Amino acid sequence: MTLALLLILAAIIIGFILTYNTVISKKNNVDNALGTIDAELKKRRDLIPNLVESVKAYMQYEKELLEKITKLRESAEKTINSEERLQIEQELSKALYNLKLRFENYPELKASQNFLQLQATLTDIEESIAAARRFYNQAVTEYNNILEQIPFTFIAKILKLQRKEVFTIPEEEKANVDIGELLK
Amino acid sequence: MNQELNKIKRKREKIYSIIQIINLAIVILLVGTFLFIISDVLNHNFETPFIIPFITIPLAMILISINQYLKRYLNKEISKAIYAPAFKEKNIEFSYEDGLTLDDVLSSHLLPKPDDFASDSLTKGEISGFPYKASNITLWREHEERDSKGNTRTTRTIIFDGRMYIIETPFNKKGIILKSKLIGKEKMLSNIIVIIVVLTTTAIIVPNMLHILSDPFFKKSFKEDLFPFSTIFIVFLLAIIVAYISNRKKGYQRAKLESSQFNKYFEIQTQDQVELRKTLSPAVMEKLINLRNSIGEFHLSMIGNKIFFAFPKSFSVKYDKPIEELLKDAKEIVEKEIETIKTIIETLKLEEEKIKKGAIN
Repeated sequence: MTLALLLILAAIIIGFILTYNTVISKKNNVDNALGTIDAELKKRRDLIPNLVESVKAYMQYEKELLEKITKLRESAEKTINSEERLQIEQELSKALYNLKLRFENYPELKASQNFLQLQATLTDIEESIAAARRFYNQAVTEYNNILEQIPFTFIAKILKLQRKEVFTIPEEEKANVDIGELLK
Repeated sequence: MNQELNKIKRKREKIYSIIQIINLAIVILLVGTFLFIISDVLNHNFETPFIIPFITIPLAMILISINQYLKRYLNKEISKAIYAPAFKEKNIEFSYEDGLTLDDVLSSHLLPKPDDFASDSLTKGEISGFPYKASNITLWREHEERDSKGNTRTTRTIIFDGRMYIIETPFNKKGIILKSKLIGKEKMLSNIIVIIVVLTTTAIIVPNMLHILSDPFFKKSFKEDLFPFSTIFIVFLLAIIVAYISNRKKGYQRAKLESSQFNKYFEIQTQDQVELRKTLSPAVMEKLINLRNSIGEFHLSMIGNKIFFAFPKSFSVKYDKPIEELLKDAKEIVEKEIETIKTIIETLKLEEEKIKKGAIN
C-alpha cells in the first residue's frame, strides 16, 4: 500500500515537473524568437546610416523621405519599450520599402558598387527579419496552443501567463504600390 | 560495353545453374534425411536413426554456405556490370571498389555512428554545375547476446543501407538536418508493432511485478533494502535521460515549421532557426513535400558548404533477374536520385538568387 502511494506520488511529482518545464520552455522560446527579431532589426538599423549616406548625393528629391528614415532609426534606437520599438520598426519598414521603390527612378545609383553592396545586404537582412518573424510566429503558436491544453493550462493559470499575438504581414507589404505617389 | 554485358550474362547463367543444382541437392538431402528418420521411427528402429542426419545436415549447411557465397559473388559482379553503364551514360566517373569514408558519412549528421561500415560504387561528377561524390553505404550495429550457459554471440542489424551523395555548393549553412519520418501505411505498421510490443511487455511485466511485490519475502527485503531499490530506479531514470540527451546532436535544436504537412514528413534539426527559415522558404518546403510524396523516403542535411543526401536502397541487385531488367532498374534509380537532387539544388539556387537580386515579395 505504502509502495503504491509512493509510486503514485512520484508519478505526480514527475508529471508536474515535466508539465512546468514544458510551459516554461515554450515561454522562453517565444522570448528567444523575439530576441532574434530584435537582433535582425538592430542589424538593419546599423546599416541605415551607410545606406542613407550612399544614396543622399543621388536622391536629392527624396530628402524628406531620407530624413524620415534617419529620424525613425534614431527613435527606434532610443526607445526601450519593445512594443513601441516594434511599432517604430514597422514605420521604418514602410519607409524603407518606399525608398526601395524609388531606387528605380535613379538609374545612376546602379553604377555605384557601394550602393549595390548595401542594397544586397539590406535585402539579406530583410529576408532574415522575415525568417525571424516566421520563427516567432511558430513559437507563439506553440505557446498559445499549450496554454489551452490540459495539463499545461493549469500551470499557465498559476503562472498567470497570457496569450501572445502573432506577427501579421506588415501593411506596406499588403498595400498596393501607389503609382501616383511614385510619379510625383 | 555489350561485350562485357554478354560476358556477365554468360557468367550469370553458369553460376545460376550451379546455384539451382545446389538448391536441388539441399532439398534432396533434407527431404531424404526427413524420410529416413520417419521410416526408422515407423519401423521402431531406434538404433541408427541419427547417424545419417549427422552426415547429411552438416553437408546441407556447407552447401547452403556455398550457395550464399555464390549469390553474393554474383550480385557483386552484376552490380559492377550494371552500375557502370548507368553512370557512364550520365558522364559520371564510377569505381566499384571505392566508396565514401566513414568520416564522410558521419559528417552528414544524418546517420548514427555504426559498429561496422562498408561502402562501394563510388561515383564522382557534377549536378547543376556543383561537384559531387556518392557511393553505396551500409551501416551495421552489433549486439552481444549471452545465453544461459554464459556464451556470448554477436549479431548484426543494419542501421542504414542505401546511397549517400555529398555535393559541394557555394551556399554556406551553419547546419540544417532533415530526416524523413514514416508516413501512411509505414507509420501505421510501425505504430501497430509498438502497440503490440508495449501490450505484450505490460502483460508479462505487470502480473509478475504484482506477484513479486505481494511476496512477503520481497516486502520485507524491500523495507530493509529501500536504498538499493531506489538507487536502481534513479539509475534507470538517469539512463533514459542520458539516452535522450545523447540522441540530440551537439548544438542542434529540434524545430517545427509552419507547414504541418512538412512537420509530418520530416524531423527537422538546426543550429540556427533564422537560417533554417531563410533556407526552407515556402517554395523549398513545397518542393520537398512533393518529392517525399513521389520518391519516398530520403534524408537531407546542409552543413557548411556541403549538402548531403541519403537515399535508402529502393532496389537490390538480384542474381535471378535478367541482366537487361536489372540494368533498366539501375538506370532508373540513378536517374531518379540525380533528378531529385537536381530539383532541390535548383530550388535552393533560385531562392539564393532571389535574395541576391533583392526580388523579395
